Amino acid sequence: MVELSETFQLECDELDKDHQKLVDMVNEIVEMLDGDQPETCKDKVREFVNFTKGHFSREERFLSKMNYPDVAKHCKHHRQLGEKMEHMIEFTDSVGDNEMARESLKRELVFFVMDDVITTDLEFKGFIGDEAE
Amino acid sequence: MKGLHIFGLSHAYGDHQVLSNMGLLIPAGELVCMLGPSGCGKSTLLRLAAGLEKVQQGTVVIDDVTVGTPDIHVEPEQRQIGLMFQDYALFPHLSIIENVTFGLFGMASDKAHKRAMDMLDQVGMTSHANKYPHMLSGGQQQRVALARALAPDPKLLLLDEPFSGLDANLRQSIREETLNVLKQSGVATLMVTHDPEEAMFMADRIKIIGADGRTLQAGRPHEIYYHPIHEFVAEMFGMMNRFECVVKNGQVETPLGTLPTDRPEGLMMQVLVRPEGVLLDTDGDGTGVRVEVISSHLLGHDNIVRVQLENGGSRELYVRVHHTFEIELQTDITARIDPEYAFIFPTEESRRIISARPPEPVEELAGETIEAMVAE
Repeated sequence: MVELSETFQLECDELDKDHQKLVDMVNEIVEMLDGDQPETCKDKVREFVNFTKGHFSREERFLSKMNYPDVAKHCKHHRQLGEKMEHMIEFTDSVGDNEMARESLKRELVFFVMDDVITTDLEFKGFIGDEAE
Repeated sequence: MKGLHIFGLSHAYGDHQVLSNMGLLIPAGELVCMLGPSGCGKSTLLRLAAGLEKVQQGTVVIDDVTVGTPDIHVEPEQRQIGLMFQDYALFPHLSIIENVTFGLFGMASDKAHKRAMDMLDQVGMTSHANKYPHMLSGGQQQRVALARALAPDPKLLLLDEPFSGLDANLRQSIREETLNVLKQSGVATLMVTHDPEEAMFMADRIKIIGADGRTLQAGRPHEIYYHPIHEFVAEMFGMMNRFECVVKNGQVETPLGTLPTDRPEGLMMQVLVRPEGVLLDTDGDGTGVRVEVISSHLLGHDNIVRVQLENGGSRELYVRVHHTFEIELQTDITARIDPEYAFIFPTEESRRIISARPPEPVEELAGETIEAMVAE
């Protein structure tokens, strides 16, 4: 189980709620992959990808509105994650009878949400904290 | 979360910025390699994680405990970390068993002895327990260093170019043994290296750091090798053939044929092709471009062949072919590109043009705007 401990909090309620939902979805998918019918995770992974795209969109609007100086760089990072998300969906075709695919997808999901998304978002934690004051 | 979590880490030596807003996550049981050129800050990152240097900006967290910020500095010996360096760093005046028990201070001596022997057993070194470091080979010393690093059951293991002092054959076997032991131990491991092959072999995930101390790409080894998002990343893994072409009608035309691309129309691109991405054919089916062989060098399993395009002036290419492809026996050779090994990136000038444009909006889901969420 992945937990969103205190050090992962941006201290921006709206974005932290999104991150929590992403983590909850990853935990659900991992549970499905560890269960009797791992192949059923495909819809959930698609749902995860769609929610992630929505999160990126919301976050970009928020950062633009806040005049975050590195917004273009952050948007570019989001675009670069697109291919990773497509690969995750591709992985779901193999998870039914392939232990390595299941392990790879679990690992990829955890790194994606905790490092590629949330840890990268922590780059602007200081900025939004200063803006709030 | 168990493991290492670093975010917003920046570090400078005087005016020289070595790390810029670096983030890193390593869950327990995973091995992440930081790969980058000399001076890119990867060893600095390791030293900051270890507590060997104080954090100037950013946060270092181990197992949910903040151990490093500009205001907090937990000393290295309090962080429950294991360290392993290129030079093994064994104490020469202590026997092997004494070296391994050294870090188990506070543990009853019989328990410490048992723990140390268990660790030496894991690395196949129990029969050397009473020898001294100078009596062992480099590979054996590195096994002992691993046993010593893992004996206190650390929360985090930090490896700094651990195999670079070993010769090629030994390096391969020690890498494999080390990986097995690390996976059994379940420890979060950060390894820094400048050796791409080593990173690909060892890592669950690779982070590539550029010369400016920023992360260029992070991903599975397969992703980094086959889907590099920056030419610096692509070029880290060896020599490349390079062409410059303009995007026209959704493709670029190289001397070896066209490749599809979704890069912006009309902009100059650089096409990088790995030597194994240039395919040589001898059946003359007409799909390739005729080439003349300049030289061929056997590298064991493969040959590196230098070829010249017959209609391409002095343009030379490097091609990697299987050793059974005996170039001396071939006469009518053509070359083409395997798109899987070809990567298209904007030139510096095109990059500037693209950066000046507003980013494309991401796909948006109905009704879910941050403003709406704030209003709730």
